[in-house]
Amino acid sequence: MTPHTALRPALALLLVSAAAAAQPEPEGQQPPAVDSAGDDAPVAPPPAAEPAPAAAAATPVFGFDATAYPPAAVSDRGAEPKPPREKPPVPRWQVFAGMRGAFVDDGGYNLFSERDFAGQGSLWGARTVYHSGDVSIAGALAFDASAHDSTIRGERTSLALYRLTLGPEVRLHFAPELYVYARPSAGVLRSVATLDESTTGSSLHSNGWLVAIDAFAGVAADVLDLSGERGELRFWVAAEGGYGWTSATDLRFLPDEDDASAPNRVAALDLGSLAQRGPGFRLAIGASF
Amino acid sequence: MRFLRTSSAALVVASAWLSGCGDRPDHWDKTVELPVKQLGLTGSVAVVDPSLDRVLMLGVASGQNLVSTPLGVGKNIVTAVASPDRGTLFVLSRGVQPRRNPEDERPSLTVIDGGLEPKRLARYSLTDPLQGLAIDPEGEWAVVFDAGGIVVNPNELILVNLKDAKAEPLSKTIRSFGGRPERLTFTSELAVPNGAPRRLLIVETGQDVTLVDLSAPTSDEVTIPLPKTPTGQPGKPAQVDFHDGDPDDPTDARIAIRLANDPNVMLAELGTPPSNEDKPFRVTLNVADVGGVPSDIAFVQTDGGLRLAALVPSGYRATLVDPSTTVTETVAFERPYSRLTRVTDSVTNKPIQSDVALLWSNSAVGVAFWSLGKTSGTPFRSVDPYDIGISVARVTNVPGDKYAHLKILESASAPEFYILDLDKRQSFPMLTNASGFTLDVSPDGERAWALRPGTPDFASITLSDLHPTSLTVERDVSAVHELARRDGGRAVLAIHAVYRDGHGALGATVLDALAPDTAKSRFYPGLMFGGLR
Repeated sequence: MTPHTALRPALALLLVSAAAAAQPEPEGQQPPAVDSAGDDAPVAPPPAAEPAPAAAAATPVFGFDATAYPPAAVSDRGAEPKPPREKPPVPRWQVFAGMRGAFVDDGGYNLFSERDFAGQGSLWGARTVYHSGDVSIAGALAFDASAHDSTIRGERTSLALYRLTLGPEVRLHFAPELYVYARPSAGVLRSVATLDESTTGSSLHSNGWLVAIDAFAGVAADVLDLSGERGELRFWVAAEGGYGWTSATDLRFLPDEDDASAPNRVAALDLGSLAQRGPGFRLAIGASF
Repeated sequence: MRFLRTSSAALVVASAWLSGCGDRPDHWDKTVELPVKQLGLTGSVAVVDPSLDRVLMLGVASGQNLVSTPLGVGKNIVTAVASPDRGTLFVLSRGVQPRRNPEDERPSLTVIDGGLEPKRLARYSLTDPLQGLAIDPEGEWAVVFDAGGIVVNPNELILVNLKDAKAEPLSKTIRSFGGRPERLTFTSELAVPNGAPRRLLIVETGQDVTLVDLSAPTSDEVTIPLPKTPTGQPGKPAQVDFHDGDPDDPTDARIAIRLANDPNVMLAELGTPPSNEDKPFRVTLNVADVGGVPSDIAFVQTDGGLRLAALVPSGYRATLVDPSTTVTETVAFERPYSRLTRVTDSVTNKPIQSDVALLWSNSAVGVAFWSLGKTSGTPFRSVDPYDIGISVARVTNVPGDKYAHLKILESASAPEFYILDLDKRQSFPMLTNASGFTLDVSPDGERAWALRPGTPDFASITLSDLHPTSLTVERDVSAVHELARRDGGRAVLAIHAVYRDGHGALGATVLDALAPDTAKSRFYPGLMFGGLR
């Protein structure tokens, strides 16, 4: 997979989210309440002149038609309107999806990519476990996956990488909608490398488990709030940069043991080592709930 | 909302920019040029990799452990040649042409040790990009010739002194009468009337022969013009041979020239120059008509003295020319033998004063021994024909002294070959299951390897007892090379070359050459990746 193709899903996600966010609100629909820190000026919900009980009952709990923080709705039973719910100062659960880009200046990686840039799909989730003032700490679990393919001297190669890391995410909240964070994490990286070698007529493989350590810092912003009566649903954009390090694994290609098409007693084809090390970044959109 | 839009646009731009950073090294994108040239050397197999300007030297450390040593050579490889003893590899490169910048690489000749520890011995920078390379069998000289380009000097020779790695190559332009160098022959040391014995470089052009004194390469060369053919065309040299004559006589060294499509052979004697000339020798020419267009010539010692033997297959005979008098004598053959190989030094009991020659032909079945000690008076008794079932296209010598008395006779089309024992005057047929095989004798002269390229089948023939061992490996084989192992043993590499979709790949099966057993072989894939990171 070329870096361009690696970028494609993430960019598509971004564009879809942008397009979705740019949709005009239905006429007569009340915009969700947003924080005064945003560029969009706070729009105070117009007072419900004549609340229509039937319409209120049809209001969904999530989505564009949802009333984010219910205005002083009038109960059809004539009860006192509930006060608007406070936006939580820190997100509780978060999931993100996006892309991870890494600049891997490694000889082994050159076998599988024509450029030093490695694009990967990225998922991570976090759960806030501590909160005090403007600081919170979350536990974060990240999963990055990528597939790369190329040719070396006419022979096809491919590499799949799966990275799972776990670590604390320390956040500093400037506002409920904006925080910066730092996330050291450690985990494993599984590499599955394949070389379609012509003289054997077989696929040769070199797989490895590597220790993976990441240190990233970034910023996350709440860009869309679709919270409703039943709970919080906020959408986030996150951008982070840092450094990813892995141990190295030897690239010693051999056919599978049960590959009957390969010659017997094939000597390992030693093409150096592979390490995924280098600065990188992540761009993601996510949701908190 | 504006924030989201701005962020998205920024991310798109940033990602596109970042994705274009950092290309990998070019060597991964260079395909393997076809066909892949391999040369078997004494301790290595040289695989020429022109697209990366390098030579991969494949050796075997111990057992079946293959070791690949990449050695850089000049850019744009033109040709690679092994020395006759297979101990050295010569790689001629054109460099960067045309040169645009001072740092653009010049043409060069790289000399590589082909032994157990391959290394670059020397690299000579040349002034012009030439394409031909002649290697001195005695290892003293390499001559680069055959220019190409827009403006060329086709008669330029660049002489490289291989004994001095720091010596500047000598450029020499031979006088031209319209021809250009086509074939170069290095003589052994020849005694000359004035000065010490010396070696000559015989340069055959399209219409003359030039002698270059290798003891003084920059001195004037001697050009021997050739007579016109009976049809009026300029004479064209087809073959040369040389002989020092009587070791005690410095005035009788001779060079014989066979002319293409001409019944005449020329004899150039390196005689005494006039006393007023300060030259080592003076060439005296004689022409002898051998009675038909000869196909091969060689100086031979007969019981009547030195003679030039010229085979005339159209007349079923050979003509013996006395080089002193050009008097001729003919020897009739039963078959139209067209090639002659002097085998005197190969037989165990060498004749003292006369030669023994092997006669063979690609158009006549059988071979003959020609005992040149019996030519005087009874020439008909001198030829002993031997019936073998094939016409011989090639005679292969066995290196070394141990089995030098064996010659391998190959046919161009028959599915068999013969091993000829010169001592016993016996021939041993070796049958193969199909024609189209190739034969290669190991550098140590102990074994021969027969292979039908493109099949997985090959065989070793132990020359001590002529025992064949057939082998079938797991992939088709394009070449078989035996080489010395670093642990003192010997290994054989069966090379697998695969050409697919315009690119090549090379692998090898390594076996013990002394006890080849496919059950104990080892397969090495991806050889062309050797040394790349």
